[in-house]
Amino acid sequence: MTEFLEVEGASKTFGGVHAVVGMDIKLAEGQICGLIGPNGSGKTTLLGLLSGTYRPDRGTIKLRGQRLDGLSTYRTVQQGVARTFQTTRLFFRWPLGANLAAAAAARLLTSAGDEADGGQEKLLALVGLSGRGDIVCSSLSNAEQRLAMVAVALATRPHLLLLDEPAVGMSPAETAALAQVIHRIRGELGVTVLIVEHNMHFMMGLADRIVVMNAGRKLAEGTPAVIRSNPDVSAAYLGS
Amino acid sequence: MLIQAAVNGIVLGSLFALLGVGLTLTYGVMEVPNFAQAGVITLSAYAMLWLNQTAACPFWIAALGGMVVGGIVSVLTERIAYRFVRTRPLAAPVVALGLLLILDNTALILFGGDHVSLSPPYAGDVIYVGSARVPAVGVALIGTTAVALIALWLFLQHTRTGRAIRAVSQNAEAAAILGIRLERQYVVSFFISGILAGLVAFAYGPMYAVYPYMADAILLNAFVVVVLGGLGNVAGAAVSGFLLGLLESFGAIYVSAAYQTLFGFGVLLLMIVLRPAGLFTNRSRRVA
Amino acid sequence: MYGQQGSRQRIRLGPAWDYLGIALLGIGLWVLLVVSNAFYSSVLATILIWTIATSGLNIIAGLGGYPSLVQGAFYGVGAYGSALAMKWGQPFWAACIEAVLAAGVLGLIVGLVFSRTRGQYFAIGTLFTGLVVALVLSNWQSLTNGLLGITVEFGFDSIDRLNAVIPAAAALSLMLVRFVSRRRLGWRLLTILEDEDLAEHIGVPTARTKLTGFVLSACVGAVAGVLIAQYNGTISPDLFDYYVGFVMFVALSVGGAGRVLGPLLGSAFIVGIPDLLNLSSGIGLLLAGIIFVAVIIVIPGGFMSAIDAAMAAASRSVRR
Repeated sequence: MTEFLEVEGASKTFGGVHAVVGMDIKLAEGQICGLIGPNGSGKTTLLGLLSGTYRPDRGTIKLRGQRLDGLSTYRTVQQGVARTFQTTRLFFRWPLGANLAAAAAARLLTSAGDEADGGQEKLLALVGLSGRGDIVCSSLSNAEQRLAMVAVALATRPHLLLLDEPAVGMSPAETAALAQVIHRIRGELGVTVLIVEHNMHFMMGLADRIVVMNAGRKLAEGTPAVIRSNPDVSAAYLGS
Repeated sequence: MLIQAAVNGIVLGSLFALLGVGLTLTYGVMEVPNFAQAGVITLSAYAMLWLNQTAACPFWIAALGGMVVGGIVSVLTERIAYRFVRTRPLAAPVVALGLLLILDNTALILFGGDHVSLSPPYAGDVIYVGSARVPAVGVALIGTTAVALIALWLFLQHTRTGRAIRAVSQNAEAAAILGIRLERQYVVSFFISGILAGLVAFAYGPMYAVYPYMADAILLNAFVVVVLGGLGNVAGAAVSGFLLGLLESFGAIYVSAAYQTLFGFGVLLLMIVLRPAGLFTNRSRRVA
Repeated sequence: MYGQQGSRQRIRLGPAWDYLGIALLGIGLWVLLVVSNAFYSSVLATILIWTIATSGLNIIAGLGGYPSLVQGAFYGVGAYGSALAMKWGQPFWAACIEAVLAAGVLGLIVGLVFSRTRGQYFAIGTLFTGLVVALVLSNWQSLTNGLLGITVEFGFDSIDRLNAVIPAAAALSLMLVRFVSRRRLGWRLLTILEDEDLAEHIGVPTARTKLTGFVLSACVGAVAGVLIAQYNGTISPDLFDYYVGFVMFVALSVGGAGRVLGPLLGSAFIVGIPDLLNLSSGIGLLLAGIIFVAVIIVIPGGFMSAIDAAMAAASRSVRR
């Protein structure tokens, strides 16, 4: 029985720097998985491998049995993988609604106009940005922009959502709201989520499973409780 | 034959180095190509011509005068035009075209369209290096290029203003945060660029003729040099200038003279596609 | 759908009105062309032919944001291609198609070569491509007769026919941009303009989209070239020298890149001002240069942005 997401032996080197070495990850559908690790441990590179930005030098990546490694970024999106970024990226000069429409249209999901609008409203409500569709993205607050980025990624109707430090720049209240949004993404949309995040408190309360990376390799894996009590993990963080 | 090609290459390379450094200095600061540099070269040449022939100044005074005129005209292009479009990359080519029309046609109106020759006192002389012949104008070119590049290097390395210019061309935002006043650096960069344009006029004028559109074509070679060396990279431009000069010279002698410039342009196309950041830039600069 | 200046209100009419407006504009321009005397008529014809070429450029450079400086080469291929094809015995309509195809193929090659090049490097690369194309063609004496140029066989039934086709083609080229901008190719190009990497991450096939836009731009440029060859009767290599591509880009920027009417306004300005200021020994061009610099400093966004601002101000005062 194939896992939802299977990463086997993925490795990526950039000019002598071994960013990711022999990573194995298996995710079941509907899981929320956290990816943590000190700076430079290869987390963002791994996300890049999953989203098609990079091609792995070795190893395979499979989503529902389909090979993802080697596909270009836009094809990976069409296979159902979407991501957000550490620094906020949006079509800032456009209204939020236009951003969502572009993302949806790219996957040829919108036929009639009504379908698009109905879907947009639901999406905006899900991330907590109801009624903000007509606002130009550059006018949104930082937290709103981070949520908008998530909404745009969701507009491509992904099976797997990769979140790269989604809580950057958010206050504790906004972070809590974000956690609720992620729960809803899994619960209401059935999307599997992989989150890279430094905020431990945020991750512990949110993730079903946590994978810890260090120096490009998997250091540990398990439920939040197991990870919290793992001495190697604290050593890796304190040591860096 | 080999020595002649090498000597020609060094002469040509000196010209290209002057052109390239002049262009890359403002490119690095403005992030916009300064096509108007061709017009500055032209007006410089005419200034030298006027000082030397109409005002009967000795050649060296006229040359210096021409260089100063180049510096002033270049600063004027910044103060009157480029300054207003720094944040508008789409507007800059329009400004460049407009300035080029203004400068070239000012020359045309003031001095007429005839091809005139700028003759330094040593115009007819030739020296011999082994079996290769080098016209004295070529020697003068190599000499002035060497002096200019060394002077510029010292300026950029050891003076406060010079270091500030290097900082601005590497990262304008960071430089501003560090308190470097950007405006002054732009003006100084344009002034130096204009002086270098004057040097090009001094070198190029005697070799070819002086006429209102004299520099429009050679500016294209300047682009090749700038791309090879890396946008804004002064040392890179200097080295690339000589490399390009040697490449074209050997190409002309050993392959075909007719397609001499085509070699240079072919090199540029190759660079743009394969390694746009240039031969000498190893740190990753924003490519777009 | 997607405004490039989302928050500022732009006057938007329904699609039918847009096309009708352009059609009426075309008819008006045709009338102007026919009733003007020989001098003004030829200036207007050149402006309209440039409108076609810059409208084509508007697709890759205006919608897609890729500063292509090589449009002059496609313009030249259109002119020389159709002229040579007719010389070799082809009927006019076939010659046109062949010239446009040739430009399309050249566009495909150039687009592929620069598929990973962006921003000012794309600009420099395309500029030099235009230069190389011009050099090769002008040196290929046996094909193009070099600097002497060649005469063009007239392919229309009458001059009147040509005078009607030129404004019609100009209007159609404007309509084409209007059409493309609302279709998938258009909004994909717009996402590439805004943020190419993000576009890729929402599923836009950026490489394919850019290439399509570039080839389309090339083909439209060639159509303009066919018409200038017909209008002038003789053509020479300075028709598509490297600076032609540069000036076409300038015309688009001044008019308003990405806007439907931008090419018309820009061409009128860039071609019209020097031609109309036909004063002696460079004074005209000097004034033209001064006007160019002054205008772009005052309205860096081009004429269309000035019109937007004026209409917004007008609608605000109407509401009060």
